[in-house]
Amino acid sequence: MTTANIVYMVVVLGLVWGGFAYCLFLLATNRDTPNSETDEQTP
Amino acid sequence: MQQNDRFSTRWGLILAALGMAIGTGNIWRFPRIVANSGGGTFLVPWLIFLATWSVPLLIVESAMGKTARRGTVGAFRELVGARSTWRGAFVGFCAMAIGFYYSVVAGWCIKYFLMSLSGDLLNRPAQEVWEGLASGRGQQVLFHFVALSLATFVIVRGVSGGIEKVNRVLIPALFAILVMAAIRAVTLPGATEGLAFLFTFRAAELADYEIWLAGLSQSAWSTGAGAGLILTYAAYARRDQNIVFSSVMTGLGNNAASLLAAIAVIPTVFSLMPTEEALATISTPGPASTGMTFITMPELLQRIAGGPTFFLPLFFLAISFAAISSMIAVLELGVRNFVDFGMSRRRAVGIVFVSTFLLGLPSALSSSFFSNQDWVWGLGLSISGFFIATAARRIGARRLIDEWINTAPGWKVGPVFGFVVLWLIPIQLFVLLGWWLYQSIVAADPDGWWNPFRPNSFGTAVFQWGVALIIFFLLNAKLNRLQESGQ
Repeated sequence: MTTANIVYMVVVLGLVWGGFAYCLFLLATNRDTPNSETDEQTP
Repeated sequence: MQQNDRFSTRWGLILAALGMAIGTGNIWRFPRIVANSGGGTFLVPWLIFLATWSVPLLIVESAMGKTARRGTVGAFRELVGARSTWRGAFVGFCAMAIGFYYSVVAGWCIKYFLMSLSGDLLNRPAQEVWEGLASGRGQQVLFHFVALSLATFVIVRGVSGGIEKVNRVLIPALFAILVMAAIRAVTLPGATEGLAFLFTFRAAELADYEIWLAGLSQSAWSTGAGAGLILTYAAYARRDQNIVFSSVMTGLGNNAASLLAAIAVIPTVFSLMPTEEALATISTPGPASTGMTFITMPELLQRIAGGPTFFLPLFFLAISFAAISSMIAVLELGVRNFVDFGMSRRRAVGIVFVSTFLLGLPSALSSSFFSNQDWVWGLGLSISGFFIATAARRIGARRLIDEWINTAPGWKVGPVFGFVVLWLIPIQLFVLLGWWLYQSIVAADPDGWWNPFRPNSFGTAVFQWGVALIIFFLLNAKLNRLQESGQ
């Protein structure tokens, strides 16, 4: 693995996994839809 | 089961959408396409098309489902107009036609998982095991039935009680398994060579048009965008579900799973084989495009510590989960359309189960029929995607964005989105179809490309699409009446 490989790997994984993890964080903390009903309130 | 059944949480739709998108193709097709395209440079067009094709189509589909609260047929009728109902029927049929043979694939995965547990895969030539399954018609039919029954068992319990509950377990488990498999792969001696192959970027390769076409086709088919599946799930979305967010998360989650699968597979192959042989092995589709999954991986995983007893069953469990969660989405698409015709959910489930079993039988019994259906309806998804894009065009960019998409708090799309959906997607579609046409005429079969009776000819695809399109077009008035009676 060269430095270029590692940099490219970090960029790709950062975009895809970083983006997915960020979405997971937003969803888990109810920040995906501000001021929405909490899940428990909806029948 | 009531027709107004909904996902009980916002997680529910997102996990179900991930279950729909992440299928066997993420695990056995993606690593092969990376290898065929020369390695890591392919990841650039693959990510660009996630943004310009897959996510926009997922957003439009979700908007249609959430706005109409109907399946594919009803959504087209309600949102595009009664003259276009037949287009929704074609979108639904195309996905169902994929489900007919996909159930056979899911059956193989379950069979291999059971064989890996019982030790039947060990110390036997993998080619011999595969040929035994492929030629054993009784086994093929039995496991087609088993896979279909498992997915139906979930569907019959409804959206919140079945689909949501099961995907809450399947999807986190699938990711956990893929992470474990990836960690094991990168800790094998010599695995870094595989990682270097996967993450090598050569700017000059971007000048090769084939790498862009491979990126577009992988992104288009892997996410399920344009297939009508997420449209169906979105019909059950909560009112406050932000479909821009859920579509972006579905696209990213699908690609995250693909990357994990590639990290699990490619370093393993490079670790256990000489470089040239490893490249040839990953690039070869094998029987039914599954050679690496059902022949190479069982052989390789037996050779690593903990492989025979742990990683081999784990690998096939992951593929089985991916297959079943996608199968559930396909069956629900069919069920929802029948429910919209006024049928009870139980009756609709029964009809979809029986028809999927019967229409999947030819694929279970004949590998050339399987290959034909995979070719025709896999490619047919581009027609479905075109119909979804034209639905957006029919109502106009402004209304699409304001009235269908930006309706929930949170993430929103801007005016550029209209340009992407109304112009960029159709352009990409025509380029993709043109490439397939070129491949099937010039490269693959210059003499028999027009012949509708050749399994992988352009002629067979056009013939079967044509028959389906004409039938649904002629049935348009009947479909409208059925929708009215179901309301």
